[in-house]
Amino acid sequence: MSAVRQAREVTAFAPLAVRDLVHCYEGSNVLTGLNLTVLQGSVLGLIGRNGAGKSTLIRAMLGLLQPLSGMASVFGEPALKLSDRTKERLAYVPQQPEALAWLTAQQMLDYVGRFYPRWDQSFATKTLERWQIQPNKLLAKLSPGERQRVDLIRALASQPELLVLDEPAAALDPVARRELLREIALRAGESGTTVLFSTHIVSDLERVASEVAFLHQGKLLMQCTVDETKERYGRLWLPGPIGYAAPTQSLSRRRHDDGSLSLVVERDAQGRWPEAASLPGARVDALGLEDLFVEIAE
Amino acid sequence: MNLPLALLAPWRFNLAGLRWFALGLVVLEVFGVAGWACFMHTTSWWVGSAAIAGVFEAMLWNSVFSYMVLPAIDAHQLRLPGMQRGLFVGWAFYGVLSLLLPAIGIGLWVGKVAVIAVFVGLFCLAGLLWALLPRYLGMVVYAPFYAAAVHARFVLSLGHSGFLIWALPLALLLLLLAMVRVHRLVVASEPFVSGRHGPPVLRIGRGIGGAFAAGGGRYGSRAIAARPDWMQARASLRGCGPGHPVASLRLALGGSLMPTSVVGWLHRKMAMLAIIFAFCGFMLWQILGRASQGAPTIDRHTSQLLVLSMFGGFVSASMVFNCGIELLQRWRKSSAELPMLALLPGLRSGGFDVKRQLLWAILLPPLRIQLVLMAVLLALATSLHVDTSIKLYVLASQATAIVALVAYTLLITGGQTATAGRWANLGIGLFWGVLLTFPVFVSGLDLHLANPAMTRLTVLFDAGWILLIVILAWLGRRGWHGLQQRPHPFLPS
Repeated sequence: MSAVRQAREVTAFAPLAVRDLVHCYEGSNVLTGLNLTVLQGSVLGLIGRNGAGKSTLIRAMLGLLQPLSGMASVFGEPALKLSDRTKERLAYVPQQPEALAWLTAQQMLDYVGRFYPRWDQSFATKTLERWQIQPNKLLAKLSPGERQRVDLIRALASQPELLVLDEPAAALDPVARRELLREIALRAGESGTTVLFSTHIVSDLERVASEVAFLHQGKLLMQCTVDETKERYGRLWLPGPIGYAAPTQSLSRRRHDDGSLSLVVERDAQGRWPEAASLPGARVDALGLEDLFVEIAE
Repeated sequence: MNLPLALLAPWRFNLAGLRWFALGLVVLEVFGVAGWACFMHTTSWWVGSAAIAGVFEAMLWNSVFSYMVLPAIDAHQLRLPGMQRGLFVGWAFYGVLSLLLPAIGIGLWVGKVAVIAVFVGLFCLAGLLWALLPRYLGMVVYAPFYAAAVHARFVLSLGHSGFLIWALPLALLLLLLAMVRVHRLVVASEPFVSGRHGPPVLRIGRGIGGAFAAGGGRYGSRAIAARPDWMQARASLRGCGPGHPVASLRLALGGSLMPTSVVGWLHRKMAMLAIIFAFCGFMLWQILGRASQGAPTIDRHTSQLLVLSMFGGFVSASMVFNCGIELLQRWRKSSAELPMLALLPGLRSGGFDVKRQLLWAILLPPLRIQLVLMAVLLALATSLHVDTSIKLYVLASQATAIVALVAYTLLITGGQTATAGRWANLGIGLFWGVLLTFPVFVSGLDLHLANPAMTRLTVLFDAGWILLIVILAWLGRRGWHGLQQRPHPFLPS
C-alpha cells in the first residue's frame, strides 16, 4: 500500500476531518477553505483570537451547522448525517452550556445517560459530589462555572472515544480548570480518547495538547505538535537597510517605527531558516507558544 | 433628537415587516370605515365605522406603536441624552393623530367628534396596554373595552353626555396607567427578565424571539432562575429514553411541551385558565343578559356559540403563540438544546426518521386540544341549529389556529425563523382581528339572521378566515420544503 493511499485512509476514518470548509455569517467569511484532520488518539488544541472562527469550525466539524461548502466527517461519516453508533462515540461541550435549564443536574444526567450504552453512572455521581454541585438544584440556578462542570460530567460520563470541548475552561476557576486538564490528559493517556479543544489560554494548551492548530481570520495558519512549534518557528528581525531581503513567505510581518522588520518564519524541510536570516545584522529569536500566538494574531 | 426624527422614530425603530403591517392596517381601516359607511344605509352607520376604526387603531397601537418602548429602554440603559424625550414626543404625536383622524373623518358627519375621539382613544389605549401589561392583566383590561364595543350601539345612542361621563375619566385613567407602566418598564434594571409577568411587547419584541436570546421569556434560563422553587413545574422523566423519541424530545424541548405530572400541569396553567374562564364567563353573562331581554331564540343560540367560539379561539391561539415563541427560542440558540439533540443517539424509532418524530413531539399535544375544541364546537353548532355560515365561521376559526400551529412549526424547524418572525405579527393581528370584530359587529349592531346585512357580513368574515388559511398553508409549505432539505432538523437558524 502506498504511503499516499495509507494517508488518505487515515484521513477518511479519522475521528474528525474537514476539507475545503467555507462558511460565512451575514456576508463576511468566517471560514475560508479550511482543511483540518484530527487523528486517532491525539489531543489537538485549537487556538485563535476571539472571533477567529474556532466555535464555528467546531460546530461545522460536528454537523451542528451546515457550511456553505466543503465537507466534514466524524469517524468517516458525513458530519451532517451521523448514525446513532457514531453519536454514541462522541461527546461535545459547547462554550456556554445552556441546555435543559428546566431540569436538575441529577435529572439531566439521568436523562442523557439513558441514551449512552457505556454511561458511567458512578463517575457522574462521584464527580458531582467531588465538584460540590447540588444534584437537586435546577440547572438554570447554577452559576456559569457550575453549569459548565455539569456539562463536562455529562460529556465524560458517556465515555466517548472523541471528546470535543469548546473553550472548556472559560468559566472555570483555576482549581476546576486544573482538574479538567488532568482529566483530559488521563482520558487521552489511558483510554486513547481523541480530544479536540479550543482555547485562547496558551498555558492550558501547553499542559495537555499534543498538537496545536492555529486559526486566524478563518484560516488555519499552522498545525503541528506543540514541541515542534518551538523548534520550527522563530521571529526573524531585519534592520531597515536589509528589509528588502525579507522572505515572501511568512506567518506574520510587522514593520517598526525605526524601519526594521519583524517576521514569523518557518524552517524549511531541511531544517534551515530562510536565507535572509544569515545576512549581517539579521537575528532569529526563539518563540514560546504564547509569543508565537501573539506575533501571528496581532 | 429633533422633531422630524421623533416623528420618524416609530418607523425607523421597527422592522420592515411591521412597517408594511402598519401600512396594511391603515389601508384596511380607511377602506373598512368608508366601506361600512357606504354599505350600511341606516342612521347608526357611524357606530360600525367607529368600531372598525377602533379595532384597527387598537391593533396599530398594540403591534406597532407599543414597540417604541424598546428603544426607550435601550436609550435609558445606554444613557443616551434626549432620545427618550424624542420618542415620547413621537408617541404623543401619533396618539393625537390616531384620535383626530377618525374623529374628523366620522365624527364631523354626525356631529359627534368628541364621542368618536374618546371611543377610538379607548381602543388605542386598550391595544397599547394589552402590549404593555402582563398578558393576564392585559386580557382583564381588554375585557371591559370589548364589552363596551359589544354594547356600542346601546351606549353611544344615549348621546354625548352619557357616554362621555364614564368614558372620558376612564380614558384618562388608562392613559395614566399606560404612562406609569411605560415609565416602570423603561427604568427597570432588567426589563427583559420578567418570566410570566413579562408584557407581550418585551416577549415578542425585536421581531419575535429577540428578547429570548438573552435567556428571557417564560421558559428561558434567566426566567427559570428568577422563579422561586415552589413555582417551578418539575419535569417527569417517565417514558424518556432510546426507543421513546417523542417523550424524550418533548422533555428536551421543555416549556409547555415538557412532560410533567398532572399537578405540575395545573400549577403551570392555573393562572391562564382562570383568566380565560373569567373573561369568557363575563362575555357570556353580558350576551345572555341581552338575549334574555327579548332576542329571538335563534339569535340567542348564535350569540352563545359566538362566545364559545371566542373562548375556543383564545385557547387555540394561545397555544399557537406559546408554541411558536418556545420553538423560536430553541431554534435561535446555537449552544443550548439543539447541539445536544443533534448529537443524542437513539432518537429514531419504528423506522421513522427524527424529523417526523420531532413534528409529532411538537404538534401532538396542542393539536389534540385544538381538535377536541373543534369537535365540541361543531357538536354545539349542530345541536343549536345555527345558520350554516355561522357554523362555517366557528369551524374556520379553529381550523385557522390548527393550520397556524402546523405552519409555524414547519417554518421554524425548517430553518425559516426569519419568515416566521416576519409573518407572526401579521398572523396574530389578523387572527385576533377576525375573531374579535365579528361578534362586535353582530352584537353591537343588533344584526339578526334575517337581515341580509348579517348574511353578507358572515360571508365576508368567512372569506377572511379562508384567506388566512390559504396564507398559512403557503407558509407551511415553505417550511415543509425547508425541513425536507435540511440534513437534520436541529440546525439553528
